[in-house]
Amino acid sequence: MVSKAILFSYTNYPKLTSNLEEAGVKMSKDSMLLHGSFTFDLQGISRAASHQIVRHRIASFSQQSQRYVKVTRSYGYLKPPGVPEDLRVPVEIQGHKLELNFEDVMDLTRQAEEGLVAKGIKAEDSRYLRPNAATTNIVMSMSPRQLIHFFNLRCAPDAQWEIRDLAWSMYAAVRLAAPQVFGPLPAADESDYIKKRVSIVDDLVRKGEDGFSRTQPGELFQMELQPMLELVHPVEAFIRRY
Amino acid sequence: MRVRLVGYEPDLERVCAAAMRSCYSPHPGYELFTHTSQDKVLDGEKIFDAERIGGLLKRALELGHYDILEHNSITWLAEADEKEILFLMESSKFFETSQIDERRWLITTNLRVLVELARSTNHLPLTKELVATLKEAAPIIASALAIPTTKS
Repeated sequence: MVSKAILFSYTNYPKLTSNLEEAGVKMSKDSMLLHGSFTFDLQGISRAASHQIVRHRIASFSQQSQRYVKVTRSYGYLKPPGVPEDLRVPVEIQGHKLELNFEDVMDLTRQAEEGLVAKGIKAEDSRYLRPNAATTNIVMSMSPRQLIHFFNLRCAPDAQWEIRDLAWSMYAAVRLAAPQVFGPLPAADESDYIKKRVSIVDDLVRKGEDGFSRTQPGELFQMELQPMLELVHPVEAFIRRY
Repeated sequence: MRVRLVGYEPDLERVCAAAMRSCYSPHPGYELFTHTSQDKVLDGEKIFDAERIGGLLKRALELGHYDILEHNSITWLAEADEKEILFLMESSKFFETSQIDERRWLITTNLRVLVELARSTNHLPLTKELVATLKEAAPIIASALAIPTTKS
């Protein structure tokens, strides 16, 4: 399953700056971090990752409901790359011994949830069987200042692989969309891991500038992230061109 | 004029409506946002035209589902005293302010806060002036709240 980070709405800083200059106001880059908003559509991420994302404040979230969206129409899951395909674990259910891999367990939970719904149990109760690997979609908005805080924490080497991959993809997207406010991460001063990847993002942004500027207004530009960023699972990053 | 609108995201009402619908749809927010013509089939979804966007936003206002109105930012250059600015900052965690000089401030918040101000009983002139600019940034919401046009 491929996760997507789509930056589809964001402050037009060149226009904001020009409006302010018309009024004789010049703002510092640091001050501009407070005044703006970046909205991502994060698609096909695990519930485990979305639980981590919604811990961040101040931010705004609109997440796909498990009560209102039928499991039969929305079920998907993300397998951690650290779990081998062929790894099986022994389980015993009602005297029957089974050897199940990750995929088998996902299939079981889906079948059980659909089975409960089919037997008349409300979707809002049947969904209690849904695992953390189940995928979700979430629309997320943050100011530049909050995003930098998010990136400092979630781009770090000790962040979990999924949210770390998302954070680097989102960081690359905002660097290309708004170079006026986003530069190297403050955390790069204390981490060689972050410093090295910030420098990779610098290269990716330079490489993407021409294609982004030629993208038609309203259309998406896909940033090239792999293999340079060494993401551990498939994530695609897109930016809507104004 | 004490208040001058200097920035907001294009299509911010369409963004909010897509965010709202994404909570109840198997389709993600961006797919809904771009579902603007019959060319693209999105199973079970109505075309995301002005009527649909207006319907979703008005429903959000009726339900008090204001959080979907947070997916944006609106920025003004305003002449105000510190007391007025303090009032704004106390009214919502979403107000960001930068002081330009003795009288001028850069103020940023989102549509949710403006709707709440429009529906509140406070009648501070500055908040009324901020809310009055909604007609330009968010005409559907402005019309639903029956906000008069700002005279500059």
